[in-house]
This record gives sequence, C-alpha cells and structure tokens, in this order.
Amino acid sequence: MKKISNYIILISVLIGVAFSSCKNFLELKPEGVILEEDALKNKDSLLKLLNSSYDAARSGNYFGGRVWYLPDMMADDLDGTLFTTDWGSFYNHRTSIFIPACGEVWQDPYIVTYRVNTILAKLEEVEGLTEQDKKWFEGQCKFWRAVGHFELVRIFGQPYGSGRENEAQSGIPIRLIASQDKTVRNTTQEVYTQVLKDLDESIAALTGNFNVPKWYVNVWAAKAYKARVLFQMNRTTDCLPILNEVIQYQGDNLEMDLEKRISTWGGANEPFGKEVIFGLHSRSDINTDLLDRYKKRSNGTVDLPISNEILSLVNSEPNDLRATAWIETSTVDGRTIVVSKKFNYLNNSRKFIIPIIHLTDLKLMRAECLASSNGLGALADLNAIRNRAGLLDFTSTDVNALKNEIRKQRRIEMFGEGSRLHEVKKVGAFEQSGLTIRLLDPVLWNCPGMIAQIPNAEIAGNLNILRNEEGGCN
Amino acid sequence: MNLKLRLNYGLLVCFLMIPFAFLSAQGVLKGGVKDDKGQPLSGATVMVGTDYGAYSDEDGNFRVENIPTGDYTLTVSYFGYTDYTAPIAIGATEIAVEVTLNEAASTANEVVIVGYGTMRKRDLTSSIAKVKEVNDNVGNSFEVNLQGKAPGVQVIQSSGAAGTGAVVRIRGLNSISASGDPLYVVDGIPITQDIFPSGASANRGGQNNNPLNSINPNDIESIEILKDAAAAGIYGSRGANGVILITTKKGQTGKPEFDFTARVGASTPTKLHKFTNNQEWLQLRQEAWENDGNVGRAPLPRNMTWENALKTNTDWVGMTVGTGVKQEYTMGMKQGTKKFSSYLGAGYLNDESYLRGNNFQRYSGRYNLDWNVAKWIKVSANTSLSQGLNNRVSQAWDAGGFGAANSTLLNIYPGDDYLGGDDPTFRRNHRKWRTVEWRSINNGTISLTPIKNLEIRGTGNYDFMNWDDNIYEDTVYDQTNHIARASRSRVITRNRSANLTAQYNFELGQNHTLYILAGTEAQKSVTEYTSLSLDNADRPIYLRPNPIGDLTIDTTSVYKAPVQAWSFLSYFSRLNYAFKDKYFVQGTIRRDASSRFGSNYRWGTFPTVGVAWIISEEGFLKESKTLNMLKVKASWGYTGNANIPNYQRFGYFQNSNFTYNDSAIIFPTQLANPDLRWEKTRTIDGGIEVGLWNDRLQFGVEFYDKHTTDLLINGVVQSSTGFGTYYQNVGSIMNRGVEFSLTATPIDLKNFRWTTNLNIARNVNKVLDIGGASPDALSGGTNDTRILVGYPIGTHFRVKWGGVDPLDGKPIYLDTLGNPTKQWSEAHRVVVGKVLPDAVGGFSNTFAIGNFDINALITYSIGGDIYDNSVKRQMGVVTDWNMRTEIFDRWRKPGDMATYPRLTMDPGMYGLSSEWQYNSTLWLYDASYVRMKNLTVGYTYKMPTTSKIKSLRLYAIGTNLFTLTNYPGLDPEIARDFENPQDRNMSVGITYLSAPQQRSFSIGINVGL
Repeated sequence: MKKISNYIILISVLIGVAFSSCKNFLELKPEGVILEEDALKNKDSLLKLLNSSYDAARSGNYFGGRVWYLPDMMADDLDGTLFTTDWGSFYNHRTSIFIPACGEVWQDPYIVTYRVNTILAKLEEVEGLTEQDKKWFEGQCKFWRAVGHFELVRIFGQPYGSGRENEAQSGIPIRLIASQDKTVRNTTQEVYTQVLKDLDESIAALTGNFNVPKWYVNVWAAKAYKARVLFQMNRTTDCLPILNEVIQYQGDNLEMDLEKRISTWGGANEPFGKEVIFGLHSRSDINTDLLDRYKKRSNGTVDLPISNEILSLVNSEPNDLRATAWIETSTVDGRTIVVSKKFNYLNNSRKFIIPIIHLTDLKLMRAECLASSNGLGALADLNAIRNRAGLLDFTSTDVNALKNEIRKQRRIEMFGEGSRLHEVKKVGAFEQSGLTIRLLDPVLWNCPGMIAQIPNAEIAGNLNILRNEEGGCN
Repeated sequence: MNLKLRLNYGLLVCFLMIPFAFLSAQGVLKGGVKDDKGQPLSGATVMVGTDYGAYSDEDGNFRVENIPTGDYTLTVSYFGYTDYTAPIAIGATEIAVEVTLNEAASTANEVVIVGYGTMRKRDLTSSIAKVKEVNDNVGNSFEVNLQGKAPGVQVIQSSGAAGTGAVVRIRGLNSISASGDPLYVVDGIPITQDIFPSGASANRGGQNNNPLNSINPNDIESIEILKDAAAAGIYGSRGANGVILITTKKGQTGKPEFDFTARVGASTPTKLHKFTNNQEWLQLRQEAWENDGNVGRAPLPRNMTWENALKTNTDWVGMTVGTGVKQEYTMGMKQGTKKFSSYLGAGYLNDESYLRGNNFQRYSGRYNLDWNVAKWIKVSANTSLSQGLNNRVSQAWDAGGFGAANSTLLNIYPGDDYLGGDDPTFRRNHRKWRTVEWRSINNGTISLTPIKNLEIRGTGNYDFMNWDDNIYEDTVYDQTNHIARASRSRVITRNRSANLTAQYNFELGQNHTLYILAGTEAQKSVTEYTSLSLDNADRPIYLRPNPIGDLTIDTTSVYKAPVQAWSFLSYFSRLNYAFKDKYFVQGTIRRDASSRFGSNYRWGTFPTVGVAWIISEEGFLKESKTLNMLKVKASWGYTGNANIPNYQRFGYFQNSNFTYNDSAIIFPTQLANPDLRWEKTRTIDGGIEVGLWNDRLQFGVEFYDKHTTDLLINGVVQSSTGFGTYYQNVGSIMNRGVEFSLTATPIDLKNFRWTTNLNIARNVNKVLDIGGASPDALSGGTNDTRILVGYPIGTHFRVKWGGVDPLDGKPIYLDTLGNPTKQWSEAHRVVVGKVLPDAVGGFSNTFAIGNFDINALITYSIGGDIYDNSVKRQMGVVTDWNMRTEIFDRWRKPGDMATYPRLTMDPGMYGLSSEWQYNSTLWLYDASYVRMKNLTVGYTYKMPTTSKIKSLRLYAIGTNLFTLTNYPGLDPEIARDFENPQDRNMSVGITYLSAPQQRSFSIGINVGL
C-alpha cells in the first residue's frame, strides 16, 4: 500500500503542476470589446456613447426611415394599394404584435434612451467633467430621451386630446433609468408630461451653453422640438412665443430653392443651411432607408408611391412649382404611379442631412397658432410658403379658411415626411371628431388600427403590458 | 424453447432429411453433443459437409445416416455456443463422435466503452446502448445511421442535401437556449461539434454546417451511447444531453487483413409537390383580383405582361432537381504483432444529392497504432486527416434554388437569364459555392502499469478544423457592374485537451471486486473567424494559394473577428464495486469548471450512484435452462450543461465602424450576468434486463425521470430597456420516459438465420417553469414554435381553423372559447400540438439464407405534429408565390363546401394583417410515419481456404424506399436549417421549403484479403 500512496502523491503533484495556472486557464475574456467596467471612465468615452445615440437616431428604424414612413403608411400621403406584409399591415391599419416593423421602430428610440440614461447616470461618477460638460451632456441626453418617447407615443399611444390620454397604459413605458426592470405602459398624459419636463431641462441645460459642435443638439433645437410637442398638444398659445424665438434665431429666411428645401448636403463642414434647425448627418456608408424607400429607381418603380390625393392637391392651383420640383409620375406596366422627387437632388450621393425639424414646419406651425388665436400674422408665414411655391398670396382672414389653407400647405409641403398622421390625429382630437382620411376608402382618425400594436419584443418581456385594440378601421 | 420454434425445427428437420431417403447408405455418423459443463444440448445442428445433417435429440444424441464415404467437414452448431468444426472421414462403418461446445461470449459479457475505460456489459449499473453498424448506406454522416438502432435515441436527418447531418436527441430534451445535442467523443476526444461556429453565419442557403461528416463511418468500430446520469456522469457537466462515444478501428495481431469496399448508387427526392401551370396560376390570380372587387386584368409580379405570361411555362423545380450519383470507395487494413498493431483506413466519397450541382466529397485517412513498449508501458496513437468538399446550391429560402422553385419562381417567368441570380441555372453557372473543410483528429496515450493492478494513463488530444465557405461570382453574375467577386469565410478551431487518469484494482478476495478511477482533464478550444472578399477575382479563393498577395486583385476586404475561446477543467472519479459478481455498485463524481461562468459559480459538482443486481446469478435461478440473465438496476445522479455562446457573463461595449461628427462611437452590446451558472439535470433511472435461452431472446425495459433546473435561457427583456435578450438561469423542465428493446433470433439454422430487433421509446417532455415569461418570449426564431409552462418544448400555439364559410368563402377561425370569428388574432391562439413525438424507434430484421443476407430497417415516429410554414403561402393569399394544385378545392360561389377559402390578393379578406400571418391549424399535420429506412440484400461468396480472397460480398442497398404517413407535404422527417441552438431545440418538425430526404439505390462490393 505504501507504493500506492507514493504513486497517488506523484499523480497529485503532476496534476498540481499541470493545472497550477488553472485560474488563468479559465479566466477567458472576450476580445475586441470593452468590458462594461472599463467602458465609461472619462469625458471622451461619454462622448463616444453619446455619438452612438446619434448614430442610432439616424438609423433606418428611427429618423433614417421608419419614424417617417410607417406613420406615412397609416395616413394618406402614400398609395399603398399593392403593399404586402409589414407595410400592408400598416397601410391597412391591421398591425399586430408580430409585425416586425412595429418592433423595429419601437426598438431604436429606446436604444437611444438606454444610452442617454446610461450617460446621465454616469455624469457624477466620471472624473474630469466640468459643470459645463455636465450641463452639455444633460441637455443632449434629455433632448433625446424626450424625442424618443414623443415619437413613439405618437405611433403607439392613444392620441393626446382624444379623451383617452389618461386611460391606464394608453401611452408607452417611460424609461428614465438604464435598467432591465419590468415596467408597464404609462398613460399618454404621463408621457407628454415627461417629454415636456425633459425638454425644459434640456433647454435649461443648454441655455448659455453655446459652444455646441454643429452636429449636436443646441438649445434652439430643443426649443423647436418643444414647440412641436406643444403644437401636437394643441397648446397654440404656449407654442407661439417659442416659435417666434426660434424662427427669429434661424433668421426667418426660407430656403427659396425647392430642391434644397429637404435634401441638403453641403459637406461635412457646412452648417445645416437656411431651412434645417436641426438635422442628423446621415450615414453615407450604409443604406439610408429614406432614400431607398421614397426615391425612384432607374426602372421607374418606387417602394413608396405617393397618393393621388397629393398629386391632386399640388395640382389644385395652377403653376405650383412643387408639382414639378417634388413630384413626377412614372408608368410601370401600364399603371401610373406618383413618385416623390424630394430626394432626387442628392444625385448619387448617399450623404445628406436628415432633417429633424425645419423652418417650413415651424412657420406652418406658427401660422396655425396665429390663426387659432386672432389670425393676425398668420398670412405672412402662410404666404411666404405659398410664394416660394410660385403661388399668389392667400388673402382670406376667415379663421377656418385660413386654417384649412395652412393645413393644405402643410400637407403639400411635408408629404412623405412622416408628419401627416400626427396632424390628422391632432385635428381629429381637438377640432373634428368625425375626421376621416383617404377619399376612396375613408378611415376615421381614431379607429383602433390608427395606432400601431405594441411589438412582441416588448410584451414578451412583461406579461402585464396592455395591448392596443387592433383593426377596426375598415 | 417455445412450442412454435420446436415445430419449425421439426419441419426443417423433415425437410432436410428428405434427400437422404433416396440415397444409397454407405456410412453412418452418430454421437452426442454436450456443453462445457457436460450437460446435453438438444437441437444442435450437426452437418457432415453441406448435404448431410441431423439435429441432436433431447439427450443430446444424433445420428446421420446414408453418407457416401469420403472426407468431410463436421460442423456442430448451437445458438449461443461457438461452432465446432473438424475434418472427418466417413467410411463404410458406423463412426461415433462426442462433441463439446463452448459457450460463446454472450452479449452480456460484451465489453462496452464507458468513458475513460471499459466495462463488461453485464456489470453496468447504467444505461448504455451499443451500435456497431453505422456505415449502412452511402453518404450519410455516421450519426444519421444511428436512427432506429438504439432505444431512446431520436435521430432526425436534416434534409436531402448532400453533407447534411442530423439532430440527435437522447431521452428527450433538457435545454431551451443551451445546445440540446449530445457530447460526441471520438477515441476519448470531446471533438469540435458546433454547427453554429463562432463568427460565421452557420445557416447559409437553408443548410447548417455539419462538423461530423468529416468522419468516415467505415473507420468506426463501434458507438456507445451513454444515456443516463450514471453513464454520462463521468462527463459531468457535459453529459446532460447524453454522450456518444465513437471508437475507431484498431489493429489486431496476425497477418495483415485488407478490406475493400466500393459502392455506387443514385438518389432522387422522396417526393415533390404538384404546382399549377402558368395558365392555372394566371387564372387563380385573376380570380383573386376579381374576388377583391377589381376589374380588368390582374397586375402581375415583376412587371410581367399577360401576353408573355400566357406563353411561358417554365419548370423551375425541374431545373433544380435531377438524379444524383453516389460513389464511395473505402479501404481498411489491420495488422499486428505482439509488439505493434495498427489500423490503416482510407476512403473517398462523392455523394451527389438530387439537387443539381450539390454534392459532398470526402477524402479521409486514418492511422491507429498500438505499441506495447514493455510489459508495463503501452503507447497508442490515433490520427486522422480528412477533407470535406461540399459543393453547395441554394436550398430552402435562399434565392435561385429548390425553395425558390417551390415559392417565388413562377412558371410565368421565362427560364433564361431574365431573372439573373434568381434563376437556378444562371445561378449555378455563374455563382460557385463550395465549403472546404480540413479536419484532423489526433491523440496519443501513454499507459503505465508500474505495479500490479495500477494503470496510469496520460492522453493528449488535438482536434483541428479549418472550415472555409467560398463563393465565387463571375462577371456575368453581377448584371449591373460586371465585377467578379470571390469571398471566403474561414473558421479555424483548435481544440486541445489532455487527461490523466489512474485506476487501481483492489484485490479483496474472491467475492469482492473493487476498482477506483481518478482523473483530471483540461480542454481549451479556440476559434478564429476571418473573412476575405476580392473584387475582380478571376477564380475562387480556394484555387488561389496566396489570395491577398495577388496583384490582379484591385479591391480586397479582410475581416478578422475577435478570437472565441472556451475552456474546461475537470476532476473526476469512479468507483466500481461488485460482490460475488452479482451485486454491483458504481459511484462517479465530477467537478467541472467552465470559462463561461464567473468565479462565483465556476465550479459545478456532478455526482451519480448506480446499483445493479443480477438475479439470475442467485442460486434459485442459476440452474435455469431458460433464464440466463435477469438483471435489475437503478441509478441516480446529476449531469450538467454549459453549452451556450462564450462570454455571456460579461457586459460589454463595442467600437463602431462608423463615426458621428468625425468622432468615434462606442455602444453597449451585451448585458452582464455575473451569476450565470450551470444548467443541472437530475436523473433517476431504473431498468430490467432479461436474457432467455442463452440470450436467444433478450429484452429490456428502462424507466427514467429527468428534472432539469437553472435552465440557461436567452431570456427576453422588454425591448424598451434598450436590449432584447440576455442569458439567465431560469426555469425547469421534466423528461420522463420508458424504453423497451427486444432482440431475438427466432430461427437459427445452418442455412437460415433470422434475427430481429425492436426498440421503442416514449418520452414525455414538460416545461415546468420559465420564470413567468410570455408564450412568445421564447420562440424558435423563424420556425415559429413556442414554450409554454405545462407543455413540451416546441409547442404549437396557433389559431384553430374552423373551416370555410360557405356563404362568403371567408376563413373561419376559432377563438380561445371555440367561437367562430372571421378575424385572425394572435389572441385566439391555443395549444394545438407539439413538435416532439410521443414515441420513436426502429424495427430491424436480418435474414441469412444460405449465402444471401437481407437486412431491413424500419424506423418510425409516432405522434408529434409538423407545421408547414411554406404552405400558407403556397395555398394562401395570392401573391407572387407558386400555388399547389390542392388549392383547386377552393370556394368559388355561395354554397360551395370547400377546403380552402375564396381566393384573394388582400390579406384583410382573410382577416389577416399580412399573408405571413395566415397561421392556423389548417397547416398543422400529424407527423407520424413508418419508413423503410434501409433495405440491404447481399450475397457472400464462400471462398475456398486456399484463395487469396478471404471474403467477397455483393450487395444492394435501398434507402428511404417508402414512407407511410398522413402528412401531405414532402417529408415527415425534417429538421430544417436553424439559426441557433434554441431554434434547433424547438423546431424539429417545422418545414419551410426544405428539400425532402433522398431516396437512393446503391450496389456495393466488399472484398476481404
């Protein structure tokens, strides 16, 4: 037995030697990544993470695509007769939890929210940040948090002013901290309140913080966005002074060249131009969804044909320059399709500024706000838009006629920019409870399917999430 | 011996004796037959030469008369005993002989491999199945040929494409997101077996890579399948899904023996769909258009004009399917002396599937050496090198292949270059796709016996895999810019392991046997992924020795992914104790550490205990002539699973390739879970083994109960958190089952032997807990199955179909209460089926009739459901898909009673959001089938002893000859392409344009020298 003991000792020693460095042997860390604990140590790394928020905001799931065209599909700017799958479900107001596009458009605004929340949580931890730096990051982060919640609540929540904005789970989940905690949907009212709070705090943080690199949000962008939120809430009186302020800052000079009205790109070192209050520098090296969807292909086809209603509107007055500058028709297999030319002027470049908010929008908002109060001044903004389109001044001061004309101009000016659905819901909620869209097959502004269904990716993680009612529009 | 057999014997004896009555009597042989204990053997076959014979009577005596004088060979045979042969001279006088037959090594005494050692089968306290033949048809990967051969082992071949593998499940399924595949161990090496290699897109063209097809089945001596915890426990954390031990052939002492095999054959699909022709399709589309209230002619896809569509009727399926030719040549040589022995194997396979342009070629070589250096030291080395070449074509959902021909390639499209890469012929001609795999599996072992009863073994293993996926598109393929492109994705895995074991056999007297094994093992696998893309390349990269250095290339893009590595460190021990060779106890324990877990949960302990009692060794049964084996056994133990992607415990950020404002970007990509830990399965197993009439009839029944906890789940978090999923330990699963196997030799005559083998296994799988996740939280990816508490993994959670409304022709769905509704809603879904079958098994019969042998293997699967994910488009909303002719049974006018609803181009007509949503039980089918898997007929020439050729056999093999099933689709045996292990766990039995299995016929010749 002694011999055996010796051998056992020998084997034990061998094993010991062989695996003496077993901790290192088992401590395998991923390569090519930055471990969480090492990622956010200084101002530079916070900026890089902020950049990723901008990067996600310009993606095809967000301002680079779906935040524009999914609402467009639900409204009446597009002709979706031949849409199938995801697009068909949006066009026909029959989205469901499994429609991938619902998940895609939901995902990226929340990705941005997670990232900016991460930054906000780190501001007091990271060393070397000045108070000015902290303010700057706070302004940036709260802007994007507000924008994400606002864009999503308009697509997935009960419309503000519809009378349902205080119903339980009528909005979307508010995410103010970066965590994996389960949470249900807040009410639409709560979301709007939080959005305004974030925008106010963003404005406060960015006020006086003038040294903002040009491709980042500044105080004017935050104010302009706040105006958009208030406008959606039909708070015209609150909206007006902000619009005045921003328009004054911007110079109140519309870009008279229609070709540059939307698809501008002056190079990486150029400012946004006259029109754009704030825009995102597109990713040139990947497909930009907007271009691929609205722009005509060489064979004459287009993914997103414009509706005949837009064609009729733009031709309703003779000599409207936009009829030729922004619209063309194309014949494919004997069928005539209407195509947007808004992006044609980019030629083959895939670099452009994705406009998030622009002067035309602000002026139309201001015109409507003024028309809603006393009408004075509304004509100036309206006619500036009309004149640019080669149309004569509108002269009526009748409030309803004026509003209708402003809204007609908004519809023409901003077709294919993801604006129409929200406009319809605002008007429906605050002025015309029987408002319908689509002349041929009318759809009521607040039928259940006018709100997209909460995606499975959200519901699967929390059984308590309430779903929207589906269909019921046609 | 039962009465029926006796009668059969009697008839045969009469039959055999008939010729003797007509022959002149010249000599007589008489005598007796006894066993080695002196007991007379009744019914032994006594043959003098090949024409004269008799059976021994109840006292073991026999008498053969009327034998012409001369020299003969006397052969005496009895089931379960070694044949007695001896020359005998028959003269005019009566000759008497007494023959003693020795008991053959019974199957109970058979040695089985048990992981780090061997044991007698009779001594096992655990559940191990042994399969010897895995080379029974041409081209199949070895694991495919396990189908139907071992109880409790479910094998589903992927598809009919060349080179595909199988999904193997042992005793159900324990895991959701972690791999459910068993551990494959070749000659002691846990080999690289990942079908989802890191970095590479493992699912291309509707086919997963199969890392097992580089192993030549002809080199395999046997396969042991460790099924329960007591058996697999020695592999601890890696044994929860069972372990498949592959042992390759060894050399043997004696003159060199050569074995050559050549096989050739042809393959066709088991079934194809019937699609409408161009006119029928146009008619259906027009009907749909008009049903939707439109007038005029319906617009056609791809801007086709009606004029052209009416005169075009292309047979796209015919352009993707043909007859494949298979050929395989293998060679084996065994030789050895007392000092050295070796096995040399070589093989070439060219397996063409029926998919045009698709084949799998394998060149393989193996050399196994054993060297007895001295009495106390032995060295062995195994090495293999193989190259697998898989010429691939688009198969399922990929453009321009079989799937496209079954879906979006309409016969109204002209069959020329009109469609570019969507045209299968154009695609094959201008786009070459080939995977090239180099594989080498090697190990070396030194075994020391420094003192009596102690054996120390040290083994070093190296498994190398280099898998390249090459695509070459010529200038014609790129119809826009006419740039030729060559690309290659390369995965290199270096899998190194070493183990050291010591086993001591204690001498504790005659009644006690005790041995203890202790060992340690370390393993590290490192995978590198690179990709390379060249523009203006004149040939594929595999034809270019130095692709980047070639100056003719003007655009090069190289990508190197971060290295993926994992490691294991283990200590293990096994104790075996036997008392009086009839009471057995085994205990194992393994402690494993995995790099995939943090230091807080890194080590896991996996103990097992097993006991067995051979009742037939007890005095009251020992003398039984009928019952030669009665054994009961039971075991308990824990095994584990850590087979998830690497580095899941870390949270991390990544650098982006993009910038914003010319400034760099980092973004979080993975959430941390530092508490990630082992998935553990507790198994209780009990069984009984019975052997009758010296194992002429054997059967066994086993029961098991498995309970898996701390499931590794890629759990869903609300998308509003900014993330989708991360790995967590949540929930539990139960598997409970019973297995039955029977082996019998009902007839065992000199010229007619019939052996039959039947096995059937039933498994009940139930998810007990998934942490409150919703039914849609864990899905089979594109395959659309679900996990719900109380139901099996891969549950069909679908809307019930209520028929077609005769009044308006619209579909009727049933809501959860069974009320009819015209609106499809995911809220109407209920549990309607499962992918896992109730029972699987095999039934094989082997007949040896003179020189002929016939082997028929029938496999079957009972219960379970198939969901056909493509038929909803082939017979759903009229879009740009081909329609199957079954759609003719559709509603056309009020009052029609039809199987399928009115045609429409508007999903809203069917109450759907989109045509993809048309999921209901209308497309759910019973997956049960019985299949003639293999039928082999062979003829063996009896070679004279003087011949240089020792054996010569000719044979013919038919595979998948027929299938009995109610499934109206292509093939009820389907395991389509998968995206990840979770998909693979949940979605066997889902089909989406998948190519059906091959039906093949081959002939072969086997020569032994």
